Amino acid sequence: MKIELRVNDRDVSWDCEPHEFLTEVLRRNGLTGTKRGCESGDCGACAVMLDGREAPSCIVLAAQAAGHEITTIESIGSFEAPHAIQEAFVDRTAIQCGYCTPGMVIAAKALIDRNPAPSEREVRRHLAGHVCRCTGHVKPVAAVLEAARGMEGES
Amino acid sequence: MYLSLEHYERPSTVEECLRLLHHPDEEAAILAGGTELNVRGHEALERVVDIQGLGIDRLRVDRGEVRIGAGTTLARIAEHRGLAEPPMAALREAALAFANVAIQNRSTMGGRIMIDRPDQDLPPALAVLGARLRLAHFDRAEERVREVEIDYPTRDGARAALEGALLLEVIIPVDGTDASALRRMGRSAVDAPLATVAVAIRGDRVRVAANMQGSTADSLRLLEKTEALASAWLSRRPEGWRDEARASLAAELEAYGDDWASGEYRRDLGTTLGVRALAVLFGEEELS
Ligand SMILES: Cc1cc2nc3c(=O)[nH]c(=O)nc-3n(C[C@H](O)[C@H](O)[C@H](O)COP(=O)(O)OP(=O)(O)OC[C@H]3O[C@@H](n4cnc5c(N)ncnc54)[C@H](O)[C@@H]3O)c2cc1C
Ligand code: FES
Ligand code: FES
Repeated sequence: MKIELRVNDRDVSWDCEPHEFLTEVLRRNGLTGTKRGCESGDCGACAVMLDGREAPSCIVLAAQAAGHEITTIESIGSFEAPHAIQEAFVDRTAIQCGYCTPGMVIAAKALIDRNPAPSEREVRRHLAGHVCRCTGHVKPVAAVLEAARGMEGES
Repeated sequence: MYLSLEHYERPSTVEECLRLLHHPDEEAAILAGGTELNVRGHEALERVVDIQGLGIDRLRVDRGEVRIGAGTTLARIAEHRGLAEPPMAALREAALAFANVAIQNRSTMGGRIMIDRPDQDLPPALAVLGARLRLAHFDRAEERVREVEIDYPTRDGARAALEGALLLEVIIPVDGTDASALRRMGRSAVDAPLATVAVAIRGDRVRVAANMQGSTADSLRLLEKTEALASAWLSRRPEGWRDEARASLAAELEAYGDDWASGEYRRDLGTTLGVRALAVLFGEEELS
């Protein structure tokens, strides 16, 4: 089947099977920053933004996303010009292997877009569904709080 | 994970949706957020009928009622300003407590109600708030859609009314409810609850309901003896009400099974959560 959706501010028309999940279809179309993890909604590695809200792409059928707007990690900063959230993750050494990082950055972006000055409790709530096998939540939480402070007044 | 899924449909009317579901030669299921269906999937499922095009995702608070479309996500329920007042606190808490944020953004009220699991916060909240459900059935003989309204199923066998139905809307009366509260506890911030207790003051009665993780007894329980005691305390509360409430809750929440935690542990947890929820109703503890 063909699905039409908006991905990273671009209208796209992609082929997919009815049983395929969004993670697979994104990755097949070159957007490999979205990671495969548990594939059951538990770990956060596959997070994308769907209409501005964080969603687990591993348990969203690609067909369900038709007609919606998807934001993946590829549109949030680049190697040359990282986003403030990504810079804060680096500055705070909130990364080891980096596998969980795209999902955490997506979660942080979705949170800060809605609430530019989140409390530590809110940051913890938004990162709670993101499992990091290497480090933990202390540094990512500090990074998100720092990024939010740095971005205040930006939008 | 699906092994046989060949058709994805997104109908725009309830009638079309129900016709697709009642296709004689195919196994079909309603798809809402997909956080249960897409995870558990089904080996034989050939068709999913996505209800996002039906326009049943609105949340309205007016004329003394809250009307929540079955397609409304738990995140929208938790954020809705109209539900921030004390009468709807138990509902808001049930939506907010659930799983992680990404799952709350996808899970719908309808999906939550239609799966019957003991590890849920929503059933006790809906039970104490006196929720009603609006359902659509497809009448094969007359070839037409019939709508019915039923009380939220709290008795043995009452869930049979949900079979084969499309849940359209949840209706909760606000008038006559003064306050409600919910207390729950899971093993971690994102885990399913081991025990949940919801309470509400409706008219001159206190309602108390609990859901207990475990597989050997009915999960949703209405605690009628504790309700009677707590209702009497609305006019005058004895000094030792917490001890009396604890004893009554412990007697009504029998210990059973060893799923996730021992039955005794879950009963004791439910007892403490019940006392704390009542303390919120009586203004002795903060809401959240
Ligand atoms: C990480 C994670 C944690 C979870 N934790 C819990 C938990 O603690 N407790 C728990 O109970 N569940 C849990 N779940 C399961 C699931 O998220 C919820 O039950 C959710 O609310 C289902 O809603 P949905 O909209 O995603 O439903 P779907 O998955 O789309 O559907 C679920 C079922 O309901 C039916 N259905 C959906 N909408 C309707 C409707 N309007 N009318 C008729 N039938 C309908 C579907 O056919 C299907 O059988 C969890 C899931 C994940 C991925
Ligand atoms: S891979 Fe999607 S939540 Fe783990
Ligand atoms: S940095 Fe390795 S999983 Fe988080």
